[in-house]
Amino acid sequence: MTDPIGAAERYKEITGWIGDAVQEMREQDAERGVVLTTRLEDAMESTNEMLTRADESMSRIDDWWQRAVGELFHERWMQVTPLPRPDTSVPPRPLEFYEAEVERAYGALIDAIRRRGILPRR
Amino acid sequence: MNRRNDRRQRIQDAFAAFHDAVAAARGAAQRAHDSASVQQAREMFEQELRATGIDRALHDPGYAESLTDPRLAEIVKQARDDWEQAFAKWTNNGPRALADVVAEAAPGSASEDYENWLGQIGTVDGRGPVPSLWRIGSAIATSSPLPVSFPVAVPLLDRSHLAVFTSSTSRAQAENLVESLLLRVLSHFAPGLVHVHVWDVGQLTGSLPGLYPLTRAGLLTVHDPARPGEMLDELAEHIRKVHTSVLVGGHDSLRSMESDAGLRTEPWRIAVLFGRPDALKDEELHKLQRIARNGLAAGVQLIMVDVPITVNSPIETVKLFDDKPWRTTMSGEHAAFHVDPALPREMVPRACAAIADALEKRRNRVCTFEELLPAQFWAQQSSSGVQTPIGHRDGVAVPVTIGDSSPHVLIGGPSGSGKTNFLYAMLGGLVARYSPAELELYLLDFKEGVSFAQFAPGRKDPTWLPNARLVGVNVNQDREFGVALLRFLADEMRRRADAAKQHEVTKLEELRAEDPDGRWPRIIAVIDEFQYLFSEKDAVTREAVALLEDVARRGRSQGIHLVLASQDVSSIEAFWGKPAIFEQFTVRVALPKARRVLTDGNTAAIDLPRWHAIVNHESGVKQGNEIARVPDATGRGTFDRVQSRLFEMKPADLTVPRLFDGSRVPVLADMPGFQALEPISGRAPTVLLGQVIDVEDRAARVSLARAPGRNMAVFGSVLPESTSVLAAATLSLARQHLAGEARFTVAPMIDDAMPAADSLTARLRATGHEVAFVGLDGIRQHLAEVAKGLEERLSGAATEQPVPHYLVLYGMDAANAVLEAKDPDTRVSGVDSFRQVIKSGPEHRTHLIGWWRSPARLKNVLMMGASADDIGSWVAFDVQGQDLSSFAPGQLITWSPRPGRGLFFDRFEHARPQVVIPFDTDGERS
Repeated sequence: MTDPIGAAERYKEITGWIGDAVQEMREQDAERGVVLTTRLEDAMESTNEMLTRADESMSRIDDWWQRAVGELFHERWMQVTPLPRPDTSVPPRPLEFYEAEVERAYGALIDAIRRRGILPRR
Repeated sequence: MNRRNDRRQRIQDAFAAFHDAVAAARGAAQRAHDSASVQQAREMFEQELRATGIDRALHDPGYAESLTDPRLAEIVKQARDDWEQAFAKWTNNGPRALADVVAEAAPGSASEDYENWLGQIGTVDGRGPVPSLWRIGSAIATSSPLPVSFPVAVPLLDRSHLAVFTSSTSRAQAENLVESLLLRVLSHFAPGLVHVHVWDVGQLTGSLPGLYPLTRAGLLTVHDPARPGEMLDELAEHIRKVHTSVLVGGHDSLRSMESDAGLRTEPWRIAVLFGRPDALKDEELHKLQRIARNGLAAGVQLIMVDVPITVNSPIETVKLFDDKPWRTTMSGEHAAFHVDPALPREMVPRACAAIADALEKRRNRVCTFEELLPAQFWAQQSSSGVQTPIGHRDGVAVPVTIGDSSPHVLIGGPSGSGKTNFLYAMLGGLVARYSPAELELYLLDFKEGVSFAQFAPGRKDPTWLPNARLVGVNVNQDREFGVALLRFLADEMRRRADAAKQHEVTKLEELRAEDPDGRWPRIIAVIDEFQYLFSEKDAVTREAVALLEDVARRGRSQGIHLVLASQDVSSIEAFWGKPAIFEQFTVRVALPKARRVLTDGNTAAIDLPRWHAIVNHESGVKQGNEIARVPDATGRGTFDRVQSRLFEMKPADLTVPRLFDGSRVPVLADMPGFQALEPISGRAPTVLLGQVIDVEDRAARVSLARAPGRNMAVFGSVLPESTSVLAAATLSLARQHLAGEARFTVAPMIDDAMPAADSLTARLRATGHEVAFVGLDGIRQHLAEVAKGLEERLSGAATEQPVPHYLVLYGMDAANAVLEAKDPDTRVSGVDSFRQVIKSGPEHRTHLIGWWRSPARLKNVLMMGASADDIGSWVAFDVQGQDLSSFAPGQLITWSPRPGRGLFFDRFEHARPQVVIPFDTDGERS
């Protein structure tokens, strides 16, 4: 076998492609890792903000609910249901919209409770 | 009541609306929360995945769930894409390209499945080709997205050693690997080309049991587990021997020699060592390191299993460790290696037995001349030397190398020992390999017979050997021809040395590199029965010895090599007394029963069977012996066929080799020197007398200038030779004068000479020349007339330009009595006239060309005014040397007359007389 560059050298050159590929892949992963790490801090902040905002919203709504339940305490005839399960099928709108909706509904409820006639409640 | 009910209804409605709003708001908040959490989780997952690597994550159970999570699918897909992208080159081409490389570099048993070769006898012989890779298993690139198996092969013979390392449980796999590999190699080559040595620290028998049938053919040597040193010493000695006796043509490895010479003559030796970490002592490790370093060049291949050694030479490694994926240095760190499945147990010993049988059969077989020939004719370079196989041993070619370090060859063998056959085998192998521009041959055979005659064109066979430049046959007693050859070689050697000096180099090889366009072939001069050269104690022998010593000592670096052969023990013994010459003949060839060619005590040739030869490149010492079976190289269809093939190949401008045949009389008409003669118009004519015994095809010539002493004499009683010289001289003169421009006198004084004289006269007249034919009765008168004419010129009575006049006298001594009589009128004798003519003739273009049967008879008349000086040149035949001394003053002439040869001396030209061969002048056409 006359081999100008040598079959063994050619062979090793080709098996070297595996190492090249592994190295390229690791490098790519490392690069991506660096991007992710730098991005992650910002990302965490904003998702945290979102989380906080969502949690605040939730507790504010729960507040409204408690207050409403408190207002209804004297309405002994009233069958009060437990805290409603989140309805996640609602159309996507800002949380403020839904909070405002709750506040408005709360106001309407209070109104309904307060409008009893001549006799003030005792 | 109604009002109360109304109120309650309103509250209930408001509450229901409030409830829905709270559910919606909570839903929105929940959703916002979830989405933020998922976002966060994705970011963190990707980071983690990239840090781990998708290739590893796929094998990690901890990732199993995330990798199938649809919310992470995009990230997983991206990582996969990147992975595939990085591996695209490998995945698309790698395994296939490796399979191609292995298929190409490892044909047949070197890589194919065992079904295709196990049990078959290898056919690749020393001419190759040698696979550059050998398969040992397969591997998979484990980190590749598409894990495809590819073949793993290692470089071996001449290229790289192999080291295998195992854990306790994988040792059996290592043995499988080694066994399969050895079988691949053994089955690839013709039996005998691969020898195996096994040393196993653990056991005497047991390792590689399947190979044991090879031992009976000597192809497998199993070494003592307790004494690894013995094997190492044997290998080291073998390496030394290869370097001293095989790699003598300037090659640094058998492989480079093989690629130059197109033939491998030395088998590979594969040493398999099964060791363990502490199996070898330091000293043995050092030996092993040396073998590893120098072995590959000498065909020694190491396969080491668990031998911890660092070597400074090419080595491939296979690691079969229990706790990690198996690796090889060929397939790299990213591929998991698998040893090929073991060969079927029962088939291995059967295959080895078949190989051993085939070798034994091959040993008993006669190799043919055809096997000495290269695949391609005239394809080799002779820069660093020449080499050819001359026979076989164990089916492996045995080479003869002629080069700078093994410059000259001495061949000895009694009559009938195959000496001529050996020469033919050697020359046949050489001329088939090297073109005339690479190798020229000068061939001389002293003994009777025609052993080299076929190299020159003959009557039956018009072909000739293009490499031959000179062929001398039947040289016999013409030792001068041997001396002439040596002188030619010495001159050529000096010419080459001068050219080398101009290029500021010292050797032919360097000169050829510096002057690539120059024609600097190596020259091999073969002298068969060279002892004839030294057969007498005379000037010829002295000159031969001096020239031989010069060529033997200095020829090597100028590419001039001698091959001397003899059947005679005493001649070789005489040679021993000339160590300065003898020591230069480092290549010794001893044929059966040859004595004294090898060193004292090396008697191997005595028991050598017929058709065998010992070729020894180490000046004949015992360990240099290589025994070869020499094929028939003289039979029909052997050398003659090569010659006719080369004859077809020869360059158009290549001239026919000069043939010197001591038994053949040269024909005057065929001599180029004679054919070139033409009318001279006033210049001095040239006389051709005979053929000079020389490397060039030259005639002995004398110039008949217009000066005192330019007469010519022939001495001796032999009629044909003497009359031949007269005829050749006269006919060559006749060619140099137009008809009528010269006069000839042909004067036979004895009856025996009449036919020659008549024939000469007729031929002169046939070309229109004026000839006076004078017998014994007219000679006195004729000479008197010629003398008178000369006297008139001397006295100034005649002044016109003299007409050239040549007196051709046969057996002139017979006329002495007639000449002594005086003219009654003038009182002048014929002797006086003769003296006048011989003395004053040449100045007036009258020259004597005379034959006397004894020099003394001429001398007797050369007095009283004439002297021996007036005979300026002569040719003597059956005359003793001392009788000639008066015609060659100051010369010690040691001439022993021999048939068909004359001694020629021209006192105007020569320092010493030279031997000439008289021409055949008959049938000449002039």
